[in-house]
Amino acid sequence: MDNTVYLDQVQNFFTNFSSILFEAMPWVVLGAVLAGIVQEIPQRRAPAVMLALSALLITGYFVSPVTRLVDRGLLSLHPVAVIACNWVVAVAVAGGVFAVLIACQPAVDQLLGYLGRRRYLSIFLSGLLGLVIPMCECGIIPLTRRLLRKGLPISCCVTYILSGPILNVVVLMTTYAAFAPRAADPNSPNQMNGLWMLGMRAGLGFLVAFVVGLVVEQMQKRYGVSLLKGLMIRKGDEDEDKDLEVESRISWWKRVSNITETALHDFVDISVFLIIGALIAAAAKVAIDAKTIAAYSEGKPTLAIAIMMTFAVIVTLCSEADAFVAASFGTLRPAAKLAFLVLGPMLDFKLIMMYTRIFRPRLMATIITCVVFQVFVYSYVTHVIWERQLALEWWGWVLFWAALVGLLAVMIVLIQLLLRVVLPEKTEEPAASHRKHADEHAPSTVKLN
Amino acid sequence: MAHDHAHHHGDGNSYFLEQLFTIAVCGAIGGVMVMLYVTGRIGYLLAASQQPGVLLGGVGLLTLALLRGIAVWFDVGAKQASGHAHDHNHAHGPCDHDHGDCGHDHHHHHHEHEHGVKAAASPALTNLPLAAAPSVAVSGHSHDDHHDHDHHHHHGHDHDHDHGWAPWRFMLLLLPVILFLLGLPSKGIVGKEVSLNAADVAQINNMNKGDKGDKVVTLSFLELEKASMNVNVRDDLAGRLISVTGKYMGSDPAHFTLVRFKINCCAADAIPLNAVIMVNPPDQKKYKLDPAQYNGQWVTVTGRLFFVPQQNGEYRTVVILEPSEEKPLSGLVDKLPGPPAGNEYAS
Repeated sequence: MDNTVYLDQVQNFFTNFSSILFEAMPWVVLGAVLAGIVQEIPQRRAPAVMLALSALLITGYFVSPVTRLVDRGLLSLHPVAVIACNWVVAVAVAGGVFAVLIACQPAVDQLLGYLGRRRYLSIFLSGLLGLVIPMCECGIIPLTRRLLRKGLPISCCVTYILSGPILNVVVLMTTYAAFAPRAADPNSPNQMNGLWMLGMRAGLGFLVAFVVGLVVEQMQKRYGVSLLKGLMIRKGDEDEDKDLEVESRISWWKRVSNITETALHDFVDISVFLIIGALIAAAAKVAIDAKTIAAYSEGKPTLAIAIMMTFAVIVTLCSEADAFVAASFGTLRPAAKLAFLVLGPMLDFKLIMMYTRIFRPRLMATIITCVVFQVFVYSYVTHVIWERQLALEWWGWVLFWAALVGLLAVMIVLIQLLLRVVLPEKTEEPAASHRKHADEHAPSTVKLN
Repeated sequence: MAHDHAHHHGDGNSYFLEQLFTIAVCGAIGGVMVMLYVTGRIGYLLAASQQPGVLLGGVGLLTLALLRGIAVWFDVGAKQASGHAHDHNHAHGPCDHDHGDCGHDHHHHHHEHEHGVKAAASPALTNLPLAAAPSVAVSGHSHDDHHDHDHHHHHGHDHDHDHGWAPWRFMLLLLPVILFLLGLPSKGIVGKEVSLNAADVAQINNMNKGDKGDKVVTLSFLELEKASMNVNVRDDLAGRLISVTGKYMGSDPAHFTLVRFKINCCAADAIPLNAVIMVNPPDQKKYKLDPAQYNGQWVTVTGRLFFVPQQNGEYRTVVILEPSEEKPLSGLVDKLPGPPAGNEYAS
């Protein structure tokens, strides 16, 4: 090997690192700005503002109505005018959504109260939130940090973090596009076409996220806010009406200042770990060849699933493009590709690093273990069913699924027990600990009015 | 919930220092994102559909940094104007997080939590445009200037709030800026040379190279990739004279590889599209390639297309060069000045 090969590998390392980083950066900026806005607005206004911003993003960036009219020949405009008109329409739609929700504030309050009393329904709906607020996984993290501080339950936040990057209009469309042409390849029979892969990815992604949300909900009942980093813990309850009165007296410049401070703080906080994750992923990508992965996996479906899951963590791809990478593994069985597509947006090097800014080790370990275990089991079951390796009667399938659900429940309980043994238990909430601190140490230096 | 961050006092210099570094680093990263787009170097990293996002993100980041810079400027002005002459009785009640022991006097650090501070007491002051909210005592709350509230933290826990500032974070954030200034990366993903094994060579030698005429069909790499996976297209194209463009990679005078990468999002998801090009075996002794002249260069190759079955069920694309006196090898492997249509990737 001459030196040019090493130089090429170094070049590839920097290219991979920069591409991972700059692909994620715009989403981190967007997430940080949204986080700043969420932090600034009163809690009651949060749904209206978030949904209005979501409508703005979807209309302006994804739907682009004027662009579609121009493409169909119904309008003729200068390209710059097309972009401007798209965003004017988006602002109008966002304004309409905001006005409607503000006008219906009592109904919104009632709905939020209703959902607040029905936690499992909230978790279920959180799994579908990505369809309404489409964000890349990098942008979801800073946004969710602030939603946690605003009072969104931990279980709902975790569910949204896991499912949002998959149950996302753009991701579902790219998944369909990547697999659609591969419907009838005689060299690789019984592959999933675009519609099947879209449905399976969305379904399994939601199922994994929902189950993890349920597990986290049980953990929250036991451990409370000690599952989170201190920064994520919401302050004590306050009179919201009084907050709205006070809020109305804050100048717009002060609001902008607060938003920018929060946004830049969150951007810096998240980007540090994004850079670390991107460095690790770039090094791994240079060291590991995708074709080698495929070669090891040929003819061994169980091993293929495990290898592709590991590959998903290593390559750290955006969920909008990983479908094309999975599709390029032409002859690999569909279940292995599905494992890659479901696990990747939930767990990779950069996400693991970013999770450390929100979750304490106990919760991180629980999430990672539950996600990995579920993805493997579901993918293997998919393989068995898709490849028709089981010839069962209808009652056999019923028993099969019942046994699977039972196995899952047992394994989740075992994981919880293991974590209790491995990780020290902290049931005392940090707020209580702080009050204990304040009582024990010199109040003489703290003057009270 | 809105809160007043400007209650800096005591060692507020570390807060402002951190703010300045944050503004500088974020501004630098935003500038790099914009410059990558303007200079076109973003083409090495991202697909065309992703590139406007980088520009928008960079502009957004620059805007945030600018606004924050102006806000900090006024904050500093307000602090100097007030002379910090207010009485701070710091009821450090529910911070809602565990402090622990930092091993030093906790003068002030920028808390990422509410002290129960309400909005500024004086609406008149806050309603002034561009006027920073004074860091004064507000309703029901006043601060102690020395702020010697010994917290006696314990080490080994996570503060989860800015405790002064952490310079190492900013050093790490400067990494992409430094790489940009160094001109890295200066090109896209570099491929690996693919060698032919003995089985492939034997198959190629034994193949029936009956041609389908001399009409040249221009194919893209993507079309070749799709063709190799579709039996009908393979049957139609096999034996045809085709022209394809890619990057030359090889050190053997008899055969080389054409490489091009397909990206859908970013270079990190680049998928190599390999096509093996070889001189027609009977002519290999007479006509030899000069790898040094072509290696790493973009070339357009004209040859006859075949598909060689592999063990894993896939097909390797092979193009056979048929040089002659009328058509020398240099004409069949034509160097290009740069990537086709200025785009290195097939996306």
